[in-house]
Amino acid sequence: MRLGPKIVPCLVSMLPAGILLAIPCAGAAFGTVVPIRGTVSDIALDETRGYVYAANLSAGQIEVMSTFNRALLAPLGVPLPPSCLAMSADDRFLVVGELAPPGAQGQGGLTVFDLVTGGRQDARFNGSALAVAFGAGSQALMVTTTGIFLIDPFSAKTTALAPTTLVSLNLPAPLATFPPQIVQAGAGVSGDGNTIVVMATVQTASQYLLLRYSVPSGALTAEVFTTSPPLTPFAVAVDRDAANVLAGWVLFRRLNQQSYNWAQFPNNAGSPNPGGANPGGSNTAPPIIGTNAWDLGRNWIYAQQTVTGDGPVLHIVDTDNLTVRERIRIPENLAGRSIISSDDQILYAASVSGITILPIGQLYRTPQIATQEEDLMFQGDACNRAVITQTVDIVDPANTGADFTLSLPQGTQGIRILTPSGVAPAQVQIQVDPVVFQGAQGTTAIPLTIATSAGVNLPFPVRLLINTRDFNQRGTVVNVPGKLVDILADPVRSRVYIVRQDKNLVLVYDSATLQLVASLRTGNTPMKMSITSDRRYLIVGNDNSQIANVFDLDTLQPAAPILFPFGHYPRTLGVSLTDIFATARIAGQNPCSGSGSSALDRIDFANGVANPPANLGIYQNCLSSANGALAESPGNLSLMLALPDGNVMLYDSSVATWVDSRKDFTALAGAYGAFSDNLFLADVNVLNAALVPAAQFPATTASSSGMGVAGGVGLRATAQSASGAGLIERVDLGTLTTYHGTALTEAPLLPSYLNTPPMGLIGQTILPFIRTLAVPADQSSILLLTISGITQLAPDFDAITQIPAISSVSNAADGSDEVAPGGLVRVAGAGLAPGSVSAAGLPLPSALGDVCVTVNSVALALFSVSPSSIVGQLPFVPAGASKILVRGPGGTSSAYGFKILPQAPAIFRTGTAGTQTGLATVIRNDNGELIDPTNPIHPNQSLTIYLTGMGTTAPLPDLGAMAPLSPLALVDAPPTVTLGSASLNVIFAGLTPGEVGVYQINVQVPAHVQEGTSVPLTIMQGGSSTSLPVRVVAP
Amino acid sequence: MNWKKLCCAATIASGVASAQIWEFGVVGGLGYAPNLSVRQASATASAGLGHGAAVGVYGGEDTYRHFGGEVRYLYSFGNLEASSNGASVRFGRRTHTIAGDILIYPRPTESRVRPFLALGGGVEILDGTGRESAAQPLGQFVALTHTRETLAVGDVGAGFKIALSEHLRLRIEAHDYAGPSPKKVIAPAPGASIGSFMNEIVGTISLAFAWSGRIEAR
Repeated sequence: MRLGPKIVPCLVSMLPAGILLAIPCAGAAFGTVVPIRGTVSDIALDETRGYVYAANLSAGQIEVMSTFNRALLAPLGVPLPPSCLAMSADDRFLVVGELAPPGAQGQGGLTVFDLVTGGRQDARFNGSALAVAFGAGSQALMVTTTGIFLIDPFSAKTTALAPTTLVSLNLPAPLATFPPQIVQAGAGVSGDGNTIVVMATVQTASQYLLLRYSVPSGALTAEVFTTSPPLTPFAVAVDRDAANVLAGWVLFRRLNQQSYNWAQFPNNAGSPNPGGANPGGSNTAPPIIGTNAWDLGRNWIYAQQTVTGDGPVLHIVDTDNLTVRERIRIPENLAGRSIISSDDQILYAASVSGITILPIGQLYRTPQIATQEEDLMFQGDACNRAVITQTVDIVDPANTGADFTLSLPQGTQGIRILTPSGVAPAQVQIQVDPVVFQGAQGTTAIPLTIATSAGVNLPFPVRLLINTRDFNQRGTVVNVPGKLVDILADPVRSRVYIVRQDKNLVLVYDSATLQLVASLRTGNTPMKMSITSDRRYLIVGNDNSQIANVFDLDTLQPAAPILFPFGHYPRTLGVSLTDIFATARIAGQNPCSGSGSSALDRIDFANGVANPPANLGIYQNCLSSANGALAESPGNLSLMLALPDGNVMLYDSSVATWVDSRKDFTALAGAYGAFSDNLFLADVNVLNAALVPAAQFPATTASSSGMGVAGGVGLRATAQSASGAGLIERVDLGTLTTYHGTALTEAPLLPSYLNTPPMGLIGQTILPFIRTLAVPADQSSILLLTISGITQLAPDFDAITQIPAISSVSNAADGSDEVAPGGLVRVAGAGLAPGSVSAAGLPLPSALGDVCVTVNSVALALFSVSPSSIVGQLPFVPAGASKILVRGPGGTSSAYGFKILPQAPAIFRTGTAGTQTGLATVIRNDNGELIDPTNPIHPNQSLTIYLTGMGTTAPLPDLGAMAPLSPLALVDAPPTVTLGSASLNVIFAGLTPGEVGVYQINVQVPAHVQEGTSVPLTIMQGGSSTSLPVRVVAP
Repeated sequence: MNWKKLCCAATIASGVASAQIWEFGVVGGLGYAPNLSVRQASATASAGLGHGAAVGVYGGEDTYRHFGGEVRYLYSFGNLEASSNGASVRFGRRTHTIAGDILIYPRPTESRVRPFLALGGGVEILDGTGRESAAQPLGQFVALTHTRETLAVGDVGAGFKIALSEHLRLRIEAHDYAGPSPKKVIAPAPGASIGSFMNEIVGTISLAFAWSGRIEAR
């Protein structure tokens, strides 16, 4: 056995020499299992002696495992089936709690081992011992089915603190029943040793006691919670001062003498042992697997939960909201208590076979595979059908050279992974043939799955986002990875807020630059947002936290959250001038007195609490579903509540009550919101001030996704398919008709696109209602949540644009009409682009600002576009007569004929010096300044000349890509350079490293040159030449 | 033109005549060159040598009672200057001036104080020594250039000698060296025009050693 990663063999063959060959299949697992004959109900760590004690419930003894060699030593005998055990803080006493065995007439017991003297004492009591723990004091706290006791380990005498009526499974148990299903309790101790926390079962599979015992004061507090699914695993992890307790699947935070569900693990299956058959033989039996351990040193939590299909996977999660950081394969399911050694190096856990040892201190040195990118975007366009290549960076944080294998969904076409497997670190190129995807018109998202056999983690997949927009599709896409479920513009600040549900974040973007400003941590599984009517606070509902987060928008810091009643998970929020309401998923008792599965909560913002009102005006507070959505009107005068069954309700803040409730539809979903205080949208239906249907947008195959108002005109976004184009159109708020429908670069999000198979303990709750459109406060753009992230539209996205017309093609250096392949050109004309846009970086795109350009059907790489001019790099097409086309929102230009020469050197006239502009880019190397009459050329100087149009090079970089530094790209046709009658020695002629389409010639001026104020500096290459008058003085 | 050759030629020429008193002195003083006018379209600027200190040596003889001759070398340093409309630029420079003069004395040799008038000519070698820059201010008028330019100069001067002792002479004088304006060190920008002639007025004080001698006329 070893502590390192263990390869799980799936195929074993016998070689001729008799050597067993294990072939990795399912991947490595982290940790080592020490099997024990029997079943482990609890463990304790004796660091003084180097032992782990395991209560072997079925064998009726305490197993002793050496932490040095993992060997099982002679067990300690106990008279009754041991259910729990604990070590005293000084490692002197081991206290074992025992169940009442069959035929014992309900008498359990305890045994105290004095590990210093070798003595032992036994005691009996009525009931069964469920949990025992030592804090920093000298006495142990034991919880039994009948009471809570303090145990003096010196005398084994018990002192009753309080009676209980807790349950465990009476022995004898049915076949294939395991300790957690029998004991149904767990205990944990805070890092400071001052608080012991015990969870135990009041009523099997539904009701649980959370007990806190203060070691210094002896105070005992008990809370009982009803949960569904069962509050498992029966493992309790406590932080340093017991302010936070992770018990089962709930992270409790202690506030105002109460425990609140601050976050909970999503996707808890609640069914017995997902790794195998139901060992209890009953659906009501609690699952046996799972554990919780609080790593105080690293400030994270190790947890395994009952997740369908997840297998033996340990999650490393954040301590504030249980955000999943990593998923680690472990050799088998854990079952019960976990203990971390005092040096934070080893985690020992009770597991289904015995004891599992996880060397958590070595995790960072253990092979793992990850990618630096969450998404890879492949942006094609109407002009560019060439294969697009992107690189995914695969890393092994431990730098152990872990292997990886990349794969695509079966049947995926048009994508090629150049090296599907290898060893990290690696850069893997992925090629996409846009022709295969051009029919989609929008963005096709394909998961790239990463597997590893040596790595112990489960790498997160990478999204491949392939867009093949047509030239008439509007909007610039900014990639924002993750599950984005809501967008909201700040009404007074230049910001937009986006909920990233999979990471439990609100992303704050500058609405003008779309740069990330901040990431705000929410509860678990954040849903929807709203802003208070004073515009100061952002409120966020969470589907796996019974709080709504509040953030101060002036400081972007968290404020005190809104505490919801136990069992209420806020989802959507509506802020009016008088009240704030929340839709909530309600687990447990529904406050609704009539028919309905949910209810609204009213938020008392000043006091930070929420409670369901008894009624909603004259209406019952009974909602047919928790999947409704609240929306406020722009002035917060009214709120609309839309429910999936077609119910709508209206709150009027002028009378501070709910004034309308109607059901004119059989179902509602998709877009929701208010165009004004008196006009609302629910799906395709426009509702008037009384929520009476006033209009219905034309029925199409598209689904409504978002709505908003810009410049007093309504906006509506729809999507036909996830990989399609999407549509935005204006809404005439007078006639309630739509117009100027405009295709989008990619589809806005729909709930159906967001619903994907859950992954481990990462939360996912997608409502049928969605908000994807936001108009920033200054109305300078329109922002949409779309497949790849954010799509930014100009406010005049639907402006009628003229058909592009080309008037000239010249090189972008000196403006002459001589151009060459790979050179920079300027296309002049009218209506070439709807606006002015420059490329954000390299490689240059083939489409920019809704424009693309082709020469002989091959796309240019574009630097910048404007209505009158486009600057780009000519593709490496053959020289000769050529035709150029500009495609833009207004259509396609007429073909413009021009001639491409093999070489056409042209010196840039883009230099500036002081107030001078338009200087030739010839640099005197001695002072690094441009030559001009005040900085003339002298004999023996070296010069660098920057130019374009020198044709092909070796090597030849990709179109739009930066020129390489090593090896340097040398021109295929060497130039000659003269200064007057003197020939200059050409030292280098090739592409300038790091630039696109920019060449440079390095020359040496001889000792004897012709003086003059206008001496021709001439560059000849192939059959072309260019000349520049320069001042030469000697000496 | 090679200035060393010129120097020797001037010395030989002045030694052809028979002489009675030889002088060799060291010179120090100040030079001032009125700036030239530069015109670029409707805009104007001024440019020139500016002020500068001057040091040098001279040697000569009084061949006749009322005439003499001498050769003078002056080294001057300072800044080239250009200015226009509140903007200005300076650029290091130095000049080497070698001139041969005929001196006309109203008073005879034995007078203790002898006023004189000097007439002659020579060459001025102008070196621009500043750092060139593409962003040199007023580049639209002139380019002050790091290079060398040799200019012919005419020389007219006046002053007086005071015999402090039998062998020591004090000399106070002023010369105006006039010639064509430089076109290379102070190069007019394309399209600009610059004044054609440049004056440099140098006021000096000299201290000379004088001794008698006779050279047989050949």
